[in-house]
Amino acid sequence: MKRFLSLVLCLLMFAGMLAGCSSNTDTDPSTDDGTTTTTPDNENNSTGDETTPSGEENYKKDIIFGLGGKIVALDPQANSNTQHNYYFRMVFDTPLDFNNETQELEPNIVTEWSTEDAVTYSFTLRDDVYFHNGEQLTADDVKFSYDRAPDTDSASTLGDLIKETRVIDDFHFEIELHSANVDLPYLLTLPTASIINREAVTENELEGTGIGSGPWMVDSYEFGDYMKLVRNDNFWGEKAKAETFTLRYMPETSARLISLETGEIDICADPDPLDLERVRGTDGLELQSYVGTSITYFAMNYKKEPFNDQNLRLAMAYGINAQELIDVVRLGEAQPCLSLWGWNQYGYNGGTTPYEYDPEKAKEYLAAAGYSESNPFSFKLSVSAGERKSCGELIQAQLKEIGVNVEIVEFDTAGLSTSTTNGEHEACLYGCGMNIFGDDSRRLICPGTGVNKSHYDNPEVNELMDLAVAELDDTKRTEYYHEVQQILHDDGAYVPLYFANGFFAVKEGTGGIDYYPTSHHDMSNVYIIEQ
Amino acid sequence: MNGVNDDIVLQVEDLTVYYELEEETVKAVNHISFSLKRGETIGLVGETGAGKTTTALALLRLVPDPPGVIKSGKITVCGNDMLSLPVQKLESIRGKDISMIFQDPMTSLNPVFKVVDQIAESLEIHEKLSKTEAHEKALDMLETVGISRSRGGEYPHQFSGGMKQRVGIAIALACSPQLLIADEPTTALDVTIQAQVLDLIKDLKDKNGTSVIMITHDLGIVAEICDQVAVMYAGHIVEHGSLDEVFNHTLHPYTEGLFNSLPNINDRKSELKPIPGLMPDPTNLPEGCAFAPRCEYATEACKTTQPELRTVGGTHKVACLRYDETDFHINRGKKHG
Amino acid sequence: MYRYVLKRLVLLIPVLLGVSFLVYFILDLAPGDAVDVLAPDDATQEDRERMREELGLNRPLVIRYLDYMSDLVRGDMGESYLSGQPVWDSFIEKAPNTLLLGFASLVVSVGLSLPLGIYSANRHGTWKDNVSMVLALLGLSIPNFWLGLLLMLLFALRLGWLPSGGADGFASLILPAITIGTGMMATLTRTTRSSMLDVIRQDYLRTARAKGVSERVVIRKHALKNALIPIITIIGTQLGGILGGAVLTESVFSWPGVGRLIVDSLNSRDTPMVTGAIIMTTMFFSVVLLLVDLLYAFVDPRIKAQYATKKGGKSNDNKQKQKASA
Repeated sequence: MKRFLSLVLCLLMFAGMLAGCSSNTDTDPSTDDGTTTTTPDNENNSTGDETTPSGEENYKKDIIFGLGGKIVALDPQANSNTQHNYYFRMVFDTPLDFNNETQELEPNIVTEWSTEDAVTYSFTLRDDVYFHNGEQLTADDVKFSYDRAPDTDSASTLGDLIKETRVIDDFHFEIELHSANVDLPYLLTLPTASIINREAVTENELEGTGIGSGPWMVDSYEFGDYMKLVRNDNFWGEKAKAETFTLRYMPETSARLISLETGEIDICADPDPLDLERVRGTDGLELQSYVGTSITYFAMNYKKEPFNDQNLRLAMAYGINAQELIDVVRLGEAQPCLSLWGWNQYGYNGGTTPYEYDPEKAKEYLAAAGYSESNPFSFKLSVSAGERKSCGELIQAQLKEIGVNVEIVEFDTAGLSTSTTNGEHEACLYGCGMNIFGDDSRRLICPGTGVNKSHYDNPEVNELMDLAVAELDDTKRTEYYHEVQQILHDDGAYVPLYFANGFFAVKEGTGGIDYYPTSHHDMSNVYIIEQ
Repeated sequence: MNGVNDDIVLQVEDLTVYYELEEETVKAVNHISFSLKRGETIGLVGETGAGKTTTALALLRLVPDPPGVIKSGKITVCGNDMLSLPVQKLESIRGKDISMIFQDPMTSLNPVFKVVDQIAESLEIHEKLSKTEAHEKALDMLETVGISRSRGGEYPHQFSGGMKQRVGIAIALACSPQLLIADEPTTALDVTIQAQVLDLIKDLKDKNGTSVIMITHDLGIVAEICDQVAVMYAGHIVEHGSLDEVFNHTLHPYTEGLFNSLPNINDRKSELKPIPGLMPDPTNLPEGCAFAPRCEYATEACKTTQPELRTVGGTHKVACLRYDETDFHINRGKKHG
Repeated sequence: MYRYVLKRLVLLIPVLLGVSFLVYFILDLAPGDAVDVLAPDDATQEDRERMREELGLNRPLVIRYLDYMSDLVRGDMGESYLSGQPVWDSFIEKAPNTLLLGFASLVVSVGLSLPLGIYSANRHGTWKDNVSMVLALLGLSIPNFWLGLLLMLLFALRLGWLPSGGADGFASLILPAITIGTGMMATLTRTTRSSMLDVIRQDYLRTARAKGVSERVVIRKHALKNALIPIITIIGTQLGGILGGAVLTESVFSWPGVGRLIVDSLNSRDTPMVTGAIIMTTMFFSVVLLLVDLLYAFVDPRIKAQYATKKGGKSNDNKQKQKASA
């Protein structure tokens, strides 16, 4: 009797599982329901089809944003990951701004800037910017921020470039770099370049770093749980349309989406690709997307034999089918990466250096490297859990076709980070978000940082990068970068795979999110029009 | 008002109790009948497995059900038909009109309650006393059974076997029952303690006029305290009569065997005479007389026909086919003549 | 009795020492350290070295451990590598949430298991008994977070009765507590059932019935108190399961508790936070186990006597025992 009952229950559970797995059949993917994907050709980085406010709408007062990463510090110079950037962009100001639509630099709290030699830059500040504690933002605060930067965790790169920040007067300052760098203005648009208040920070190191000058102020928070922002009614620029904005840490992806569906949150960051159809088919919800500039790539450790053999590297490059990865792992939600460069990055060669999937060619290179059926090639591929692991498994199958055996080694994020930085791996799957400025590629292809997972060190490339960063002539500069991309391609430095599309699932009527392909979106002007 | 009937505290008619298990049925008690007057003591004698305890439990309707089933019979306690009483009435009679002392004092007390509370519970239920009153009276009971009042607040594990049994007696007698069933109350105790416990029971019985069913396998105890004796074998009563009748004019071969099994203090050199064989398997009782396989007097008829209990003189009854013959008697009768 | 309690508390110290040692060293064994998590991608080798030095991570493991311990004995649990916040503050912020969740889960578990176990025991051998046991087994077999998501889908999404996450108010406690509580049902129900079955057969229940005690009271008063003893033991061991369940469930329901804190800190190689949280949890757990053991003593006077005589001293009981024989 007991056994019979158990059997019945098993069958019931199995049936239940099947029911749960069936997808929503009443969605037509071709229906235009508010999703637009920005492609590299489409300069327009907007979310299209969203309702644009006409000024008379009923805006939702309190907006709740659910995200998968937790905020652990107030200091804009202490962290640089996505979740902190959301908060930084809303609470602080950076000297310059980057317009995602026009792809141009714009003034922010700095109204004018100039340079002659890309070593010394002059800036003019607005005179109507005030911090949340009432103090006026002056050049002294800029100096304080950038003098502090070299000893911080996330602003050190910027800080190390700067030789000196000089206060000319309250609203004028100069920055002198150690060496010429034409990308400085772009660097000043990043959240790590946020300006903090000298008085506030000197008074209280931990809390004072939360005083910014942006359109939102910190109201209350509990690290690892939530952070609540309130509108800054004294903001110098366009005031926010909502009154409060709460960032809620919800690590479990499915649960986060469910919270959106129940209405407990208004915006859900990064839903699982498997759930996208469901969101598209649900009334009252919308999917907003953007093409990211984070390259998911396959890196081979130069320092480990036989990956120092160019033939072998090229064999891998032609033996991996990136399109299949996009189709299977991302369910089509990604763009192919046709050159090891950001598609909106300065100097992009337009995708003229792709690796076409060609198993025959791969086999030839493999043979040239000295491998054959009697002497097969095997290596270990280090990956992190989830999407990267799925990619790894697919690559494993693909490379098997050309006679290569891949063993997958799984790490957690921290473990993967260290082992690859230390060069302990043979090959790995990793990602790198490419910014807008040309020199950003340096960290990926030149030695010295933890991002160069291939541990690639090509003197030719290094030299070209150095020349480019100081080159004021656009044509010449672009030429340098094109050359770099060609070398990288011929050398098989990395195998770029795809640019993943990014998604936010939102309540219908949500707008005003300025999506950055680098995924540190600016939600300062977010609004939800109540239906 | 029928004086004779008032006098009868217990009447058992044709009681049969089986334990119906999945594979087999244990015929524990088979068609037994006896009665008890006020103030009388009956000894229910027999070996282990004879069905004595089951009989006792049946009187309180405490036979575990399942698997125990009362197949037939009528039990009347102080005028109450025990087997057809509604549960509430049954519970009000248990512990008040009829109560029981159990065989193993080590396990019959609840280890997590104080002894005074275990006695007081009875008083609270039946005599509707308040907690304080019951507590006081319970301490009195303790003293009556020879335990100091100051020990009332202790737990069973703090007492020795003999004292636990005294507590058991206190519990059973707290509400002055008319009928007390004592199921081998001294079996688990030392001989010296035995004597004390027996004296206690005798005392209380004399003081209160309690009728007692003394279940035992010890003939010495029977001799001390009983007026009536019923000998049980394989769930049947095989001999029943007054103390004098059964002891001095023994009829049944089994009873004879019991007496013969006793070591003779006067004749230390003689060998013990055990009854050969074992008690039959209660799931598989023989067709005829249950004792026949072991009986030195058995005939062919004995093996096939069940003997009925029939009167042989006075109040003396015996269940033995041989007594149909006019001049049959067992050896023991001859000796004591 | 006090000596027993004292002894148990004193024994706590080597336990905590051992735990802190283990955690500290094991965390070190895992590849990666906090700097790799903290440092931005483009940080240079020098930057990383500087950060390591700031956090003291460039010193040998033993020195770091001794340093940590010397602070710990003075009550200073250090600061989080990740946020710079004092570990104690972070812990004390989250601890009440986990405590609440743990307690609620226990209530759910006991509240479901005890009646089900008694029900089963009373209907021992019947189909109702079998169904109950299978139900309880279900609770054990269903993975925690799957059940959580399922409950969330049903009660939060489809029915809209309960919130799907967060920790505001009583309503948000219900689903996570049920998720964890049902997971522990199986063992507790079986224990209740077998304990009841065991007790039901005991002679002292027969004595109670013979006294004329009603069946209901026999079960509820006489049987249950005795049956509780093994049940309390099992509850004690289940507490570990609650903590474990909390880790997963807190993530699913975005419940800001210690479980989630530990997981996040582990992923970030935030050694002080992990060690501090685990030490606190161990301490709490040990105290609770002690309370459970003391609870026995109240339920079972034989155990109380054991505790009192454990030190070998002459107790009242012994003297009485000597007086007592006959």
